[in-house]
Amino acid sequence: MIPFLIKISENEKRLLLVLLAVVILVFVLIGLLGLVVKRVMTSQAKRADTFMYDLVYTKAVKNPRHFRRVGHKKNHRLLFQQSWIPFLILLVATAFLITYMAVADHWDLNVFDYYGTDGTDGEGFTTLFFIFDFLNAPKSTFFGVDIVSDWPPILSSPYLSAKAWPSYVFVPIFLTGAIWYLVCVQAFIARTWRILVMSKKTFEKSLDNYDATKNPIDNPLPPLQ
Amino acid sequence: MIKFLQIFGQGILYVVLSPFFLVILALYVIYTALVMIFMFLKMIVLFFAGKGLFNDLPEDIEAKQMLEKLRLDKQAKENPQPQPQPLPYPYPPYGYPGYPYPPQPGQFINQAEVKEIDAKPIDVEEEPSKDEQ
Repeated sequence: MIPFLIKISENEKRLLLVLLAVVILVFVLIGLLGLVVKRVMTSQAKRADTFMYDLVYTKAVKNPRHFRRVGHKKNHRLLFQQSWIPFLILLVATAFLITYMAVADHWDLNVFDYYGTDGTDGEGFTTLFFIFDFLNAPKSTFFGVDIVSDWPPILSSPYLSAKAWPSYVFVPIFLTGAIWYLVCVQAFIARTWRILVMSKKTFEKSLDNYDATKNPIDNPLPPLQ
Repeated sequence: MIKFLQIFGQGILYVVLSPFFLVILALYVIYTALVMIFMFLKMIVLFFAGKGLFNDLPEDIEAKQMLEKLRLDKQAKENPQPQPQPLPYPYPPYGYPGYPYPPQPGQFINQAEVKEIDAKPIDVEEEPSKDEQ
């Protein structure tokens, strides 16, 4: 049974190598993306240090709990300061869409429609993109597993549709606001984490390098000259 | 190569943990949206109370006062001020701080412009002269 499984043709070998390379590449790309997000969040978290530095330096915050309370309050204020514009953009985009749907009495508007009735009068933003039929993509059987082996057929090519103008207005504005807002939320999470970590670390007392014999409080005798 | 493998491993880890990340992100999006609405309402209330949302916290004020005190202490150490001299008795001489020289005759004194106004004659009942009597 096992020798039969090991016997693979030249084509299958190539396919296996390509598949392996693709899988590794995808995971490495995801890993790199994670690294970038981590670095961005680290730099965003530094803002918490900026607004807490003076309070710690002057001992205006007395303990970890006090640190967290003031830190969260300032963090919320900064969130409001940073994200009122994207929030407003999201509200305006939503208000525009609802107003359009109410005026046109078209409550079942699909902003992602690409087909319409005959493939030329779609009412969604995706009329501007290629739409692939991934479900019917050509597949090859590899060790009993169906794997996509070629580009899928195209369902729709980009075209402009007059019926889709509300989607052309709504989707870019909404996406801009949404991405901007997500970045603000990400910064908020980073700062929250930093506040939690620093509230403990700032008031931490460590005995790691403590030497009682050298501590002047424990040793009342003056040092020998 | 080790770095490459580390990134590859992290990629696998991120894929496995991505549902949790997405859930956390979604929860934070909801939470921050509620915070935004709450802060907006608070801002309106504070506005009508004559206050601002971004006013200094009591801790900020305390820290500012402390920093100002530290700055003044440092300044005082670096530039010690001379002790004020007691006033000469009975009166300080001209030219002493707070006691300028009196204006000399013909000296131009820069003072505020005085507007001339037409003075209205005051109606005073004149006493009848002795000739009229």
